[in-house]
Amino acid sequence: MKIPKRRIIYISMTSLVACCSLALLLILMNDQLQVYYTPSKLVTLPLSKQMVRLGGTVDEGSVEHNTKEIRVNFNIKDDLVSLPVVFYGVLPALFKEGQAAVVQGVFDGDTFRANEVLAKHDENYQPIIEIRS
Amino acid sequence: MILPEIGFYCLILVLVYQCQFFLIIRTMPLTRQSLRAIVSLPMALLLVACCLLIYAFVSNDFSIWYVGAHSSSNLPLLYRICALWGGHEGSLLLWCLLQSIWVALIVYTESDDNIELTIAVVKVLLVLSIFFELYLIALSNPFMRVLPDIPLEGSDLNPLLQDPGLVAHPPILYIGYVGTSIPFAYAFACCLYQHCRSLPWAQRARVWANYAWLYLSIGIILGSWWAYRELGWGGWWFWDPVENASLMPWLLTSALIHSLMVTERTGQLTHWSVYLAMFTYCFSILGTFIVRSGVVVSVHAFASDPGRGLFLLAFLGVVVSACLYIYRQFCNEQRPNNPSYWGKANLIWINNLCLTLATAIVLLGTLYPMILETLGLGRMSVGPPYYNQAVVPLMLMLLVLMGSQHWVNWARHSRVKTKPVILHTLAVSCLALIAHGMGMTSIRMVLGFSLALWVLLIHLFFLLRYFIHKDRSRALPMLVSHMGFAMVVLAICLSEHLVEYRDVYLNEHRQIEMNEYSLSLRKTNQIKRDNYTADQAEIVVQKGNQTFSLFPEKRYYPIADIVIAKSDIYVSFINDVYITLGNYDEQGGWSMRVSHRPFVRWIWYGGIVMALSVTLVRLPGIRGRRG
Repeated sequence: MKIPKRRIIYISMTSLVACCSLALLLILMNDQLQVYYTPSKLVTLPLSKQMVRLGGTVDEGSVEHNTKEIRVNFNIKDDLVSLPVVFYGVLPALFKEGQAAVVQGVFDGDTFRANEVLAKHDENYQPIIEIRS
Repeated sequence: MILPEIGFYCLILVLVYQCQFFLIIRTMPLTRQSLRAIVSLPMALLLVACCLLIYAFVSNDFSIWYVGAHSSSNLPLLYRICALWGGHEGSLLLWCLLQSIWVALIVYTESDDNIELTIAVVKVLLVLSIFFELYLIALSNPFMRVLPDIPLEGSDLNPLLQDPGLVAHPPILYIGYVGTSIPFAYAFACCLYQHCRSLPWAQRARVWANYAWLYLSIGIILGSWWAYRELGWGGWWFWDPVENASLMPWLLTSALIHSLMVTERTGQLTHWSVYLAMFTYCFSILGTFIVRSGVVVSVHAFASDPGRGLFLLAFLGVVVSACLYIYRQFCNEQRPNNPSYWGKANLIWINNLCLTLATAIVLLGTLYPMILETLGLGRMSVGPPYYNQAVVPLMLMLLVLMGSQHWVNWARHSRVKTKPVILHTLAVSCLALIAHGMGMTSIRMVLGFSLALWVLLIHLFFLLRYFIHKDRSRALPMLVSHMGFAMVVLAICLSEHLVEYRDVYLNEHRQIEMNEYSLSLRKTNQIKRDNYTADQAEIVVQKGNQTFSLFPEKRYYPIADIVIAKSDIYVSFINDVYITLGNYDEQGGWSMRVSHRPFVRWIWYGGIVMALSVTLVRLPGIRGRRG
């Protein structure tokens, strides 16, 4: 079967444009991707000023509120490591000791300075216990 | 009690009944009467099943697993009824019911002129319903019993879902999701049966797509409103995979409505419309898959049975390959018309490109983390800046198209005059200067504000002409829906620009000033309701000589063992004052987040205007309302 020349041009142009836009999008996305680490992974990495996400379980009994300064200290842990987190602000509704949470911020070697705390919830909007580590 | 068993029996009956019709449908002479019989009985049976499940909720029959998992005897009656769609199984039952209702609506309202088309469409929809009923019965039976250890008390409906927003959001969104199956069925039938191509399928598909779009829009608005009030952050859109799942079909349906209009008027874009109609429905299924399979990394981690996700994925695969196969045949038989490169059709073509591109961007952002994780490259999530940078320019393009479409008409070779173009460009730049003067710095926001205001003014002008000069050259629904869209964009720009929030500490001796508001804590009350206890702060807000009180709560739900901060919002015509409680200390003080969000409400008002514009469409061909 002889493929018409027009169709070849059409298809190649379309795929070229598609590839270019996909590449552009991926580049754009790479700047915005927030890598998601567990505590034991984060401590092995070299320190950086880049914003990362840290996910794990909120250590039971570690949550300490300083209401006057609107500060919260707690630990995020996985099976191996427990990292102290400090957060200035109001915690989200589903935040709970012993449950999974994701914090976003910068790790300075001792404490994780979070500027955002996200509690995870499942299909029924219950807080969930992190299973994977 | 054997009522749940009757319910389950109803489901099986529906499946058998529909399969049987599917098998004999070729040999049967179909008339309107026989079609009615085919569609009415399943609808009635599914309705009975739904009622039985609701009855089980009302009568607290915790021997049914689904009831025990989503209700408790202390739950208020309204929420006990709504718990029907509080979880996966019940929502799927609702899905099947809605599907049967849509089909019945088609059969009952389509006129006899199109009976051939209606028959073909019903056949396609029958297959889809069979798939979903199979799924319901085999993998997510809502009537499953827990025997013999019947729990004495249910584990309660999730507190976050106990909200008026939830009462309406899921079913309405589902009506929209299921509704997209109808343009799909028209397109599919048009590819499958040669005799359907000469029939006005594009027009009929557009009428039904309009309604699907109406419900999708309202569903999304309600979801956003619910998230705003209930999730406690005052955000109205989070670019979360679950929200994206509902946005993608909406974008595609919007594109579909426009392209079907071109197909109906000029016969152009036929192939594109067929393609789009098919893929809109695929995106609805994909949305359900994303929500129900637990594959996305998100703040919502939807953990569920992998079998369910697999079935949906397989179903999606079947539908997509069937679509592509059928479309290939269609392509071989029907050559596309060469599109003309002037006139309104071309603008609509660009609009379609923008909308599908936006869908692709959202899809990529939603699935990319999932693909990375499957390949073992780590867990990541895509932040909102990605979407804002990629989707917003496309939306701005849409605004440009909306405004400039008034200079071109449907004729193939209409030329654009230069003078109005220059004048309008000047007008937009003046508006942009105003926006800059208001302190907007980001280029997206300045452009969004000025273009939206420009579109709003243009459409207002034509709306006035429509009513005062009886100038009927422009369709009323189009004017209203475009105005609604411009209102949404305008409100987004203003609210994002003017929003302010602060985390503060407040006790009975302190007073906090936040621009023109001053806040003080009067007292903290303990309150007790049926299924929760709460600390309620009474906060007095003063603005000039106007005083009002807000009552944010920190609720404790004992059955689910969850603490929820219930925010309270002061609503005025323009401003929202939003307070969420944080932590309570021994000295009687609260940490809290106070935010002042002007115009946020206008996002939803605009959305409602946009959605309801569909009701202004004059419906050609539906019996009794022939205009």
